[in-house]
Amino acid sequence: MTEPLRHDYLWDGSGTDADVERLEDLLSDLRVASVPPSLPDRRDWRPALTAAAAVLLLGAAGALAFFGTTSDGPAPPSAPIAAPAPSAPPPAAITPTAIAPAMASTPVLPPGVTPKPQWAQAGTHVLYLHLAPDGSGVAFKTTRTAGFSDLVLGDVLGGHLAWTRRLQPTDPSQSLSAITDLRWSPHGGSPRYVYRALGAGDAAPLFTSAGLVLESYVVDAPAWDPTQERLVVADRQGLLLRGRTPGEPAQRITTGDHRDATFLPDGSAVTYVDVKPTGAAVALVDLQQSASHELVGFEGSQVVRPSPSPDGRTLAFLERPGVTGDWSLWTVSRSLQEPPTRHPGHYALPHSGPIPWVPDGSSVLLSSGSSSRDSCIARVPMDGSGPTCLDLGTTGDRAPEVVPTAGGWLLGWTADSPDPTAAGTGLYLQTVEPF
Amino acid sequence: MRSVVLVRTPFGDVDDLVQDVFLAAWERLDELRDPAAFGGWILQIARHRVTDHLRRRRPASALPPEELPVPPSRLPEVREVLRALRSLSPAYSEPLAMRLIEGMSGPEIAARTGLTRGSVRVTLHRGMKQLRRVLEIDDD
Repeated sequence: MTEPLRHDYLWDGSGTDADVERLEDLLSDLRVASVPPSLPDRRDWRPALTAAAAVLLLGAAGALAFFGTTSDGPAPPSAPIAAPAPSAPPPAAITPTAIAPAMASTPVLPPGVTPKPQWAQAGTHVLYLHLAPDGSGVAFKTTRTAGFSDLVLGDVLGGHLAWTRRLQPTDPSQSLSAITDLRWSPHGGSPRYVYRALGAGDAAPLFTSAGLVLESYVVDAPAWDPTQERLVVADRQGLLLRGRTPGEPAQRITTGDHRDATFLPDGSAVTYVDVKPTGAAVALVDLQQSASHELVGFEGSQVVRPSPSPDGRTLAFLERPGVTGDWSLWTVSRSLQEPPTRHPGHYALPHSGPIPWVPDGSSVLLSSGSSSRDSCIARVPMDGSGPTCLDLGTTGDRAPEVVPTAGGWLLGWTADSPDPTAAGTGLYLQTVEPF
Repeated sequence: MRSVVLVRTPFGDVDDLVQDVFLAAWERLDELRDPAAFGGWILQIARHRVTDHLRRRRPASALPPEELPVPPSRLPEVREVLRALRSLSPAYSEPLAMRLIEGMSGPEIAARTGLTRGSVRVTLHRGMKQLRRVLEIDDD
C-alpha cells in the first residue's frame, strides 16, 4: 500500500520548512565525498579502492539475497519515484534544461546604479521576503547562525526601507521564531496583515496585526481575498473561507488534504494543491458555484504553489518527481483550453508564498537552482523564449518579489552579504523600469 | 554511511574511516546472515570503527581546527551546526545527518538502516527539536 503524501518536509521533503532547508543548504557542502586538497594525508588510491570495496560488498550482499537466504526481511531500498504523469498530458517536445551559469542575463538596473543592501547584519541571513501588494511595506525573516529567526517589518518609502521593527508575538510565551507566514492585506487597511504562530505541531493559531485570533488551528499560510474581506485557510480537513472579523463562523469550501490556497485576482475562485495518496493535483474551487475541479494532476510528484497570473487566466506552479532536488515550472490555463506547459529550467522553491508574477503577467521570477552561491533570479517568460538571469549587480540572488508602484516596479530580493568575510545575506530593494 | 561517520569524527578522518569500514565489511561478509539487514550491519561496523579510531586518536585539544570543504563565508555557520549535531545522542544525530547532510528522505533512511518508517519519522522530528533547542541556546 502506498503511503499517503503529507506535508512533512523533514520526513519526505514535502511542503516547506525554512529551518530544515537552511540547515540542508549549509551542510550540503559536506555531502561531497572529497577531501580538501590541503589535507596532508590524502591518498590518491583511496576513493577508487573504497568505491571498489563498496561495489563488491553491495554485489556480494545482493548475491546472498538472491541465492541463499530464506529472508522475509524488509523491502529493498525504495524504488525510484515514477516520472510525473500529468492527468492532462503535457506537450512532449519540452525538454527540461538546467539553468547554466552561462544563461543570458537581462539588465534591469538603471544606469550607474549599484544596489546596496537595505538591511544586512554580519552572520545573519534573510530568509523570507514579502512585499506589501502596494509596495508600502516589507516583511522578512532573519536567521542568525543556523535558522533561528526574527520576523522583521519595515516601511518602504521611495523604494527604500525607511524603518524596521521586530514583530512581537501576541502571546508572551511564544518565541519570535514561532512567527511565520505573514501575509499582507491587499490594500494596507486594518488588519494590515495576518500571521501564524507555530506551536508544537504543524498546526498554529492565526493572528491579525491587531493581535486578534482568527483561527485556532491552521496548517498552512493564509491567503487574502482581493477585497480584503475574506481569508482562506487550511486546517486538517480542507480549506476554510472566513471573514476578517474574529468570531465570525468560517465556511468549509473543500474537504481533503488541501494546501497552498490562493485567491484568483477577481476573488471568484481559490486555487490550491490537492495532496493525494499517490501524488498531487492543482485544483480550483469556484466560490459562487461551490464546485471544485482538478486542473492538472501528477502521479508520484510533489506539486506546490499554484499562483495565478495578474489576469487570472493562467496558473504557474512547481512540480518535482521526487522528494529532493530542484523544481520544474509549469503553467496551466484556468480554462484548460491549452495543455499544461512545462517551462525550461530547474528552480529553487520560494521560501514562502506564491510564485511572483511580474505585474504585466509576461513572466514569473524564481531563484535558479538550490545552490545559494551561484543562484540568480531567473525571469521565466511565458512566451517560451527561455529563462534569463536578472543582472542585479549582486551574487547569490534569491527570494524575488515584485510589485507595481507609482515609479515603476519595486523589486525585492536577497543576496550574499557585500562583505565576503561575513557570512550572511542582505535585503535589497530597487525600483526598476518594467522588464 | 559517510554522514554517520561524520557526526562522530572530524571531517578529515571520514574518507579513511569509510574505506576501513568497507574493507572490514568485506572481510566479515560471511557473518552477514540476512542480506536484508546489510544497511544496519555495515552501519554497526562503522560505529565500532569510529569508536576504535577515537580511542587511538590524540585529544581534540592537540589537533588543529577541523578543515571543512566549505566557502570561508559559510564556515562559521557550518561549524556551528555540525557541532550542535554532534552534541546530540547518536540515535538522533545519525538519522539527522543522513537527512541533512546526505539529503536522504525519511523513507530512504528507513530502508538503509532497517528501522521502521514510523521509528525514523519520530526520531527525525525529535532530533530536529533537540537540534533547534541546542542552536537556539547557543545563538542566545
